[in-house]
Amino acid sequence: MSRQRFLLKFSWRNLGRHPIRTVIMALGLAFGTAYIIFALNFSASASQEIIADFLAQYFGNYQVVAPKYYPDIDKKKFDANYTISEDQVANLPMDTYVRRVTLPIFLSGPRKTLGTLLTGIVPEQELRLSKVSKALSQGRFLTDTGHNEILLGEKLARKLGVQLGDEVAIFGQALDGSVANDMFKLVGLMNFGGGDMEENLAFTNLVSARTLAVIPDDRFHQLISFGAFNSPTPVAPPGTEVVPWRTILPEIHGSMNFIDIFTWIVAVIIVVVISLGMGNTLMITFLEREKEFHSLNVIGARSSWIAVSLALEVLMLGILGIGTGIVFGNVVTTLFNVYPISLKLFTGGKDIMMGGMAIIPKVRLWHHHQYSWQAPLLVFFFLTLSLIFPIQRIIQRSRRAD
Amino acid sequence: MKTANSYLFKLAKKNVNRNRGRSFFIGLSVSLSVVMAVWILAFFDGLNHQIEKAVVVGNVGYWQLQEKNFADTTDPLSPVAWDESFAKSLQHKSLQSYSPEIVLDGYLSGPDGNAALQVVGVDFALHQNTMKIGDHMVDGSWPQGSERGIVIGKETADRFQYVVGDQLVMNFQDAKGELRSELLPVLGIYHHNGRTFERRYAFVTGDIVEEYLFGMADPRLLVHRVVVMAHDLPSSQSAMEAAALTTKTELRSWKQINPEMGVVLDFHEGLIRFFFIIIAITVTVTILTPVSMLWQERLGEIRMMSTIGVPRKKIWRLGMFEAGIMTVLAATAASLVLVAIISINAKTGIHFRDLAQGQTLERAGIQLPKVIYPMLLPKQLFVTYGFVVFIMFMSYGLAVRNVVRKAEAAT
Repeated sequence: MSRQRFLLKFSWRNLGRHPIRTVIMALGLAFGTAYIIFALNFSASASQEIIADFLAQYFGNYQVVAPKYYPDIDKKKFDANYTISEDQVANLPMDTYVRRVTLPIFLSGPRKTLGTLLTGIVPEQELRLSKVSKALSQGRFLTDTGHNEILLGEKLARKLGVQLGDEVAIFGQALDGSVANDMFKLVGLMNFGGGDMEENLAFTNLVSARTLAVIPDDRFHQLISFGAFNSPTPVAPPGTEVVPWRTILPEIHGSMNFIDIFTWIVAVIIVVVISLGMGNTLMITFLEREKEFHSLNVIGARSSWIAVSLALEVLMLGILGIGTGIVFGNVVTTLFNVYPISLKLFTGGKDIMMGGMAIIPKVRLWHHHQYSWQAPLLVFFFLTLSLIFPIQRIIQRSRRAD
Repeated sequence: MKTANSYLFKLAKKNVNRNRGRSFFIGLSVSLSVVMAVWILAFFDGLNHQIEKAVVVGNVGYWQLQEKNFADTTDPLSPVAWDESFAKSLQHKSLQSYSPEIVLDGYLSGPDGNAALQVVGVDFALHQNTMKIGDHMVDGSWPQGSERGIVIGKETADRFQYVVGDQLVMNFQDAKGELRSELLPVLGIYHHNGRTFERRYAFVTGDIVEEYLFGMADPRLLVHRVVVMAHDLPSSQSAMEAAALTTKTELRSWKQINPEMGVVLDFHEGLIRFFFIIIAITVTVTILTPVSMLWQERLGEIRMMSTIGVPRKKIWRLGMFEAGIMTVLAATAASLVLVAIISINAKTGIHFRDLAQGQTLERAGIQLPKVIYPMLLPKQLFVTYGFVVFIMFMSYGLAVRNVVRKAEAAT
């Protein structure tokens, strides 16, 4: 026991021999660890917040649809002939779901006729759960009882040449095969930040959409969940299919994964860079003390004892530096939880566009506790690697001197 | 002065050689860090280039000169007449080719549903020279002259089961606001640029669009937009601004036309800048200690130099010469390694199939690349040297300052 205590004291004393050097090395470790914790928390929080914000605007976390509604792996294609009924989904907790009908239609205005997607919604449900209504820039939102009222994206309205109060002609194909056509009154304009959504979407209430497409009163295309972002997807009720957003929007999921992978690659690069510098510094520090090691050998200390003392020294330095880094990384994370980071910093002041709509580019950092041990472990692993070569050289030299 | 410098340079060389192992490790640390950092830059240069290419070949071009009403609302009713001023203003070494276009928003109806279609009226030869869609025909051929008919994408053809020679019923709204339908024979089917593009774009001669919109073809060539291909955005910006002024049209870059992917590129660039700052700080902090120790060991020597009257400036110069030698060695080594690695990667590519789970991903109308080919660019050489210069001179500067201060305090 006393031998170990002596070793500890000996190593601790050596750290204090060159305090500035020790502080700089510990600072390097602390900075690296803190940065990695911050970067990983930032990346995870950004992915989560951006996706949660994006999905809350229109897409939702997952959809319950008829099994053949999406006939292909490409979920941009859908078959409007397949609907589900209220009875089929009666067992789901309906307070977090909205019902929608989606129809590919043509909208005709004074300027031109354009193809778009008409979404029939229940205004009361959307106002309560989704953020669709937040995109309203002019006019008013839909009402549950309004007859043939329509909301258009600003871009789409400009292209068609219509203004608030104007009527637009809609025509398409009803589910019974007949031609669906009717006049709708423009009651509001939507602003999705200038993205494609502004020209690809139009909204009306569920009743009007059902009437237009000849859909029975108890049927609809999609039941969309706007519950908690990370809530698990339920088991699909019989005769339906649950499709998570990752499957509907694989390009968004892929982009997020790509940024996460990039953050990890950067974290590893930072650690390798630190390890190289540390290995270098340790080598110089140990070689400087060659005479001392030789004296220790002469008075009976074995090479292994010297190696253990050096390893302990690095271990203490590691605990000091990495410990400080953990604290600092978490403090910075907390700081940016209170003061969210604007992603406009990375885009030269522009909004981030995703899935055709602009999203609020402010990221509030959250603690992801697994990073508080994964990052230090990574740093410690590479620190240990950087120690191997200097210690090996010292032992070889000591043996040669013996 | 020259002799003093040459002496100091020799001394610096000797100092670097004095502890070869140590110098080697310092150089190696910096080189490896720079190699990793610049490789990431090359990776993103490749990715950004692929994204940019995917957008511009999607009938967007690097630039578009758009008729003012069309630019604002895509109102098709007031196209401008193509004249000499267009052709003349687009003759510039930074611009590669152009395609004058007139656009009609049409739609198809069939038993399998409806689909919106952007019918682009083009000069087939100029369009082929710019977009090369004729190189991707899977059925029929890209028209050479003014054949009457339409070229559609494979996705549209598959959905409505059209083959070459079939009569396609094109529905559209004309300038009077009337809904009309016209028959057009399918001349060719292309397979290019992803599903969204194939679904969306069809090509006819400009005369057909003029006839459909206004009742008859104008003897002049009418255009809504001129799609321009260039080497890149920055080098062609001034030429395009001048062209827009001359032709009294609105200038739009691909980043304005496809803002979603434009912001993706800006985001990547911002990310890289941030990454470089972090790497620079990390490398400087980790290199600072060994370099300081290297100079600390020579405190006695520097003190003696001060005592015998060597001015502070010369000691600084000695330090900077050492930093310069180390910079040349580390940056050159890093550059050679980078050239080798990036050249290999540029051929083999880096596969991201798993991210897409086997699917072809499309975002904002373009097909996202599954295999990314890092690019070797001259700017990376500047970045490599600039980065090493910053790190070495920063570390040596701080180390020399400390030692000089201590030496002067002692004397």
